Amino acid sequence: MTRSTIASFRAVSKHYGSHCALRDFNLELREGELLTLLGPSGCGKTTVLRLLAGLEIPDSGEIFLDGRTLAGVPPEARNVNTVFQSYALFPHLSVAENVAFGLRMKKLGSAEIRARTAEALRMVRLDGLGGHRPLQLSGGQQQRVALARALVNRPRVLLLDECLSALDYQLRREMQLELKGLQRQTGITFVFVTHDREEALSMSDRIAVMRTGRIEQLGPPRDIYERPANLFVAQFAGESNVLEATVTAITAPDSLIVELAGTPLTVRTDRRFRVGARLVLVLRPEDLHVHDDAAAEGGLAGHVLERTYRGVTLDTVIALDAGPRIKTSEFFREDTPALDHPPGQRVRVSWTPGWEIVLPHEPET
Amino acid sequence: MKNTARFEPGKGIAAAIPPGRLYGVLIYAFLYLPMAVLILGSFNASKYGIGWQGFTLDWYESLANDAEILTAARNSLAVAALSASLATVVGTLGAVGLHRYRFRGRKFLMGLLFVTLMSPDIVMAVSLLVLFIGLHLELGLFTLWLAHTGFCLPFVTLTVHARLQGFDNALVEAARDLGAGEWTAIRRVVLPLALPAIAAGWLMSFTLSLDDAVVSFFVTGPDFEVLPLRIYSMVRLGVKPEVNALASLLFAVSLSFVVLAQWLLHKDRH
Ligand SMILES: Nc1ncnc2c1ncn2[C@@H]1O[C@H](COP(=O)(O)OP(=O)(O)O)[C@@H](O)[C@H]1O
Ligand SMILES: [Mg+2]
Repeated sequence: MTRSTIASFRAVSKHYGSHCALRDFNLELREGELLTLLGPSGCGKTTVLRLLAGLEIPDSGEIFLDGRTLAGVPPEARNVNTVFQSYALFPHLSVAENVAFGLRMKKLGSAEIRARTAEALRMVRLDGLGGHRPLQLSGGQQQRVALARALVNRPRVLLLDECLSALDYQLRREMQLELKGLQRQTGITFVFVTHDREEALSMSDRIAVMRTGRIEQLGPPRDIYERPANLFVAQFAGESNVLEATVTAITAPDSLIVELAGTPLTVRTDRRFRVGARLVLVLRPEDLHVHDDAAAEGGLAGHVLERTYRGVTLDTVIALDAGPRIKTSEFFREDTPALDHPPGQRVRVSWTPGWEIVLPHEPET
Repeated sequence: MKNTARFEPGKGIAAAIPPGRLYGVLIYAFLYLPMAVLILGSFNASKYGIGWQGFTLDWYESLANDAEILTAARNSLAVAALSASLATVVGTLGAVGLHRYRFRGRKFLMGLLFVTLMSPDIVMAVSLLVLFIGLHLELGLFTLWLAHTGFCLPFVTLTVHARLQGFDNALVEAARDLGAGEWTAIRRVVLPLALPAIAAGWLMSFTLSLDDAVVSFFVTGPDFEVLPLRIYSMVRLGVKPEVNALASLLFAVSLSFVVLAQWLLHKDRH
């Protein structure tokens, strides 16, 4: 299913003074999707939202909403609403008045305002709290008020700026599900900003991974996690063991033999490498298996440094004979004696062929 | 050692109070004793203020029957209300402007506010007098209004500006985002939030105007007398008990306005 474009950024640049926050930024938002901007703090995520909301003006390039340019359109005239990182609830108004604010601005009739406000409060499960002041509510409740205040206007695009990061872990998980549910229920396009990769992976239809004002990769969560475009995306999308290797032979169009500190390994990749080229292997901890050295062949040899019991998984740090340390994370089952490797024990680490991520070697950034 | 400050008969008060505390007591006595004497004097039946000769409200009664004083009081209240109101409107708009917009010379304008705040009354009085004469303005209510608005303005602007600095700028952005134009956002969000500071600014301006003698002396004309000047001409002939009563009333008004203003400014900081 391809959805039509609802908004787009074309070659947008934005500077703050001499500091470049976005350079030549391009992005197409699709109707009804939940797109996440994922990236470290300061990479320009908030700037993207503010540009679309009209709270900042691009230095160059153009932004379109429903096919019309937004150049010269002030924030109040854009059919876009924002859930601010600080929530920005009006402290002098009640919860219901906060939610009704946008409808008042549209000069709707008071009966309709009352009905839609009540419906929005019900949607975020705050019915009955309409008369309270925002500061009387808990953080999670304030977050819902901010959400209701934006959603009640039925915007074309809803912008959410790290709106869950102030909540504690349990509440955040709950709100993630609720947000996703609201998004499906309303069909509104959401642009969600976060620096939390689990949040991004679990909620999004598509993720744009950003670094210093550019998109490094745009795609569905699985692509981002399993087929990262580069080492930055690989490391930002999940826990990574990064091993450097050199190509020694090309055995098939998608198969290479590489040497990792003396150990030959067969790896699969769609990328083209020359013999002698340097590359990096990225191995996800949960893809790795640990075996007793005596009982196994192949893989990488090393010894156990540390074991950490984490309930669902058993994490092991292993010092490879080749030098680097790697971390494994195995699902814990009581009846699997092979999982029990005490520190100091010689082991081998293996993985399902083809599950390694092969990336060109990049100079240090 | 407990109760070092306890008064012990035969040793004298000074001996019973530790030196640090004594110092504090003396300072407060120096500041408040004259006022206490003045207020007591206003209720003292003795005409010359020597010794307590019983409680009376006579002096207040004679104030109420003194046509000149009543006129001056009405004038003072009118000037104070007008000046406080104009200074509040102009000062609030100025504060919103200084807060919302970044323009060249903004820092300089802020600096100028502090300069007017700190500049000696006499300098302001003389320069305004020169200005008013140059403009051929008749000295009286109008010139007093302008002059008092002038010295109240920085108080309002700085008070309101400080309040605006204190709240999240995202609130205005949220209002814009929800469909409010620039002016509507100011009216619906900025002004209601700044209201305690605006009210405090008005109250402080009112007391400043009511108490002012120096500027008023220069910029008013012979036909428009205000209370502080009336008091001045009364005390030139010796301090009469009516003066005590009048000054006590002024003090009461000022004190309650200042307390109210401070309460407004601090009430939502828990
Ligand atoms: N108003 C501003 N003035 C100056 N620099 C800013 C301003 N807003 C953001 N920046 C800078 O622009 C960059 C991108 O900011 P932002 O979009 O807020 O990043 P993110 O939301 O990804 O953390 C950061 O380096 C930040 O310091
Ligand atoms: Mg941000």
